[in-house]
Amino acid sequence: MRKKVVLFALLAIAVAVALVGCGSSKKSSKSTSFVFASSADPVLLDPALVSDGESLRITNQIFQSLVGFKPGGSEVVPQLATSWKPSANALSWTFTLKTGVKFSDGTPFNAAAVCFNYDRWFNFPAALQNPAVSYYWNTVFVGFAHPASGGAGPDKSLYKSCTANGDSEVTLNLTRRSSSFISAIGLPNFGIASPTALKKYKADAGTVDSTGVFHPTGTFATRNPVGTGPYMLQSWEPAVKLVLVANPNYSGPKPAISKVVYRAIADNAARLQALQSGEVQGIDYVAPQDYSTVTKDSKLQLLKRPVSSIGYIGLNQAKPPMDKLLVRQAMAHAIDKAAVIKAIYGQTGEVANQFLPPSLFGYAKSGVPDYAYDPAQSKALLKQAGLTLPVTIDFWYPTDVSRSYMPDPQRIFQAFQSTLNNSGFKVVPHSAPWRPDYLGGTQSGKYQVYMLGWIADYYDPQDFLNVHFGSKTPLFGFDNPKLFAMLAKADAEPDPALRTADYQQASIEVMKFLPMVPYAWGSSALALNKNVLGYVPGPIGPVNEPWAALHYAK
Amino acid sequence: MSIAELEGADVQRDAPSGLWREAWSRLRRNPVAIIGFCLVVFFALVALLAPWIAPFGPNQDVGFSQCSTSGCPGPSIHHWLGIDLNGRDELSRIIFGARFSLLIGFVSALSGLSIGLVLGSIAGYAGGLIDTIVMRCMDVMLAIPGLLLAIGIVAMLGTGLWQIMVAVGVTNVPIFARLLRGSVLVQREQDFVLAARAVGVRRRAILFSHILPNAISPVIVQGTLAMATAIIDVAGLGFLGLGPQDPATPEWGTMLTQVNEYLQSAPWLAIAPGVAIVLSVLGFNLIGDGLREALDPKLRGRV
Repeated sequence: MRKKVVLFALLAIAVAVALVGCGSSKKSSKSTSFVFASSADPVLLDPALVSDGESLRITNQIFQSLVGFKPGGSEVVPQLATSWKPSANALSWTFTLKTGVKFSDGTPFNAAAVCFNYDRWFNFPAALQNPAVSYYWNTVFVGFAHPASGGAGPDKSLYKSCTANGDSEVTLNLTRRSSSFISAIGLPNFGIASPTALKKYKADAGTVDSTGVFHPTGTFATRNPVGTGPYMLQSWEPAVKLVLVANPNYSGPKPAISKVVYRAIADNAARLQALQSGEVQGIDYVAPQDYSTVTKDSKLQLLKRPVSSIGYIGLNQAKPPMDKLLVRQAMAHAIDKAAVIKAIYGQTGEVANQFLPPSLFGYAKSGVPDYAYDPAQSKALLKQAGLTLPVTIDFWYPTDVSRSYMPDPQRIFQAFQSTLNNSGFKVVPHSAPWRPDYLGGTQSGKYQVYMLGWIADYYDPQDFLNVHFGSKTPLFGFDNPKLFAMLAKADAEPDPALRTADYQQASIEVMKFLPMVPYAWGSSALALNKNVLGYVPGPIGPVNEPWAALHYAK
Repeated sequence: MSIAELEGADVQRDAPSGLWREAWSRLRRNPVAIIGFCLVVFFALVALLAPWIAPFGPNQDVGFSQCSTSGCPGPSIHHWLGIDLNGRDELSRIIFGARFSLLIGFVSALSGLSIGLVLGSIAGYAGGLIDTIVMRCMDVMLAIPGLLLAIGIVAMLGTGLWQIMVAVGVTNVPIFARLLRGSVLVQREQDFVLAARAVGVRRRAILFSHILPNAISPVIVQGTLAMATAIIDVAGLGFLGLGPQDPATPEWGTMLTQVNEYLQSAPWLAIAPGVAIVLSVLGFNLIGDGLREALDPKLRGRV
């Protein structure tokens, strides 16, 4: 009996302690921690080796690049470099670095650290040169010091070398002029990591599987990413949660929220529910049909990002009859863009008449050929091209994915299918899982007609037009030297006004040539608790939305 | 004419002779079975007459321009079940969907039945090593849950109508094989088989003209129930995204899965195919149960 009493007393004490504990933790969580949910887990936390938005969302809080972007915009602002200037021939850029900056492991940040990082990327081993792994180095700087067989070497590389002039000045040397270079190095992918940590945790060791995913053997990209940003990684249990805490060595103002917990909730409805129940304080990628639910809820706020992505129907010219311009024009006339936007995108999209979103310089305000929805016109064009109706096309769409430019791929596909079948085409539907099959199939040129899109990495027309139409790719399967030369000239132009004019002209040229049919400019939105302040949604999305500025309303 | 003969003739006129006529008369008096029968006939007619009774084509755009992100117009006089998310008449799609669900269900149940019938009767009649090999293979297949096996087969063959039929058919094979083997084993030891063997009837003739006709009644019952499961499996595959390759195919399971994100804004789009699946499956189940009772030898002679 006495034993029982003692047990009961112990239990009572335990419950009391637990209750007190709960109470106090609740109080502290209100003031200093923030739980955020998005749709997927990050892949890795080494920004040089990832290209997905969720990985970059997290690494953007941990690492800083030489330059950054203004929150909510695309303007380049100082970050680790306080100022920079090009040499007379624009081939060398000298950066003056911030002083007194330390990495979160306590080691100093200096010019040598910058060069260590750039040389690391330039000297990536063959496995990491896979464009699926180091996508951004491949896109921006193209070549590597020791290229893998068939890869681009130092002769093709934009990057030449890095020189440290003392501790606080660094020069990046290029092989050719590029006007988009400064915007590009502001990407979180070019975040500067601690050289000590990179070496200690063997950042480059590992294997790459057939789908292009890097499996590190070291722990840098999973447990020990060390940068100069306002937050540092405390723990990461994939599929459970990722916890960031304030970096004690951060050189800027201490973030108001000392702990951020990131969770992945794939289901749109479940994610919104987690927010409504108070389990999380913020979510990303609110589904278009839930916009009104959020705006009607007095405890929530909806933050819409400006349109910054393009959804298009890709037409692979290596697969006849897509090589005929008349057929491509017929495709453009067979799509009822307005109905699709109204029914499926709602407030998250606008009807696109060209590849560049309107907020980006280089967008052509006039002179763009108009391809209105007109089944009769479409049939006439197909007959003019000498084809017998209906023209059979293999049309692909992805499954298991939702993107700002493509919120419900299967439903959008069915809308296209219906109007195409009425316009002289006969659609043969095909589908594949988004990753890796669908992306692989499009990139390797296996598909004839497919739905795809693009979200800005950095807000520059080069990132849209040159990346897609600046060279011959299996994706579109065409060779148009005139267009290639036009885009190369536009990228190299240093004068902003002339550059804008060049890109406007190129935008029109692309729409005349029609390598794809653009149909929607998409955007996305976040939902936060109303008392969370300081979140600035930007055109490039999670890639440039720092949590350090967040705070709770008093 | 002897008295016995007269009495015999009377009995002939009053009570139905033979298993099937007796079963039919018992089935007719079972109201539950009649409901099931009506449901099945209803869906079969709907499927057969779809092009004539459906108010619109299954893929005809009747109002995509009226759709917005909050949904498409709901039920109205012109569109009894509303308009689906791609602007098509939901009622017409349900009607045309009956064709796919019943056809796939019928073909897969029938193919599972025929293959299972052959394997089961061979195993049961031959016995010995053949029996062991065939039945252990069936045991392996039965060890895998039916839907899981179907998913695996569809994943292997790719998505498409005939692939679904094959997948669902294969999952039915072991059930029929097992059932028939048991039935054949019982019949094999009956006196009339012994008699047939004694007068020198060939083995094949004994199997096909004496054993099978007597062993088939539980298979018929199972066949109707298998139709019901097949319809559910087909809808389940469609719901899991393994339905027909063309997403515009009006298959009930596929229609269900395509609206699951819009359940709050347009519940009728999920309810309609759901009800169709439930009613057709219920119909086959009721017939199956009715048949089971009607064919039960223990109840034989009792009307």
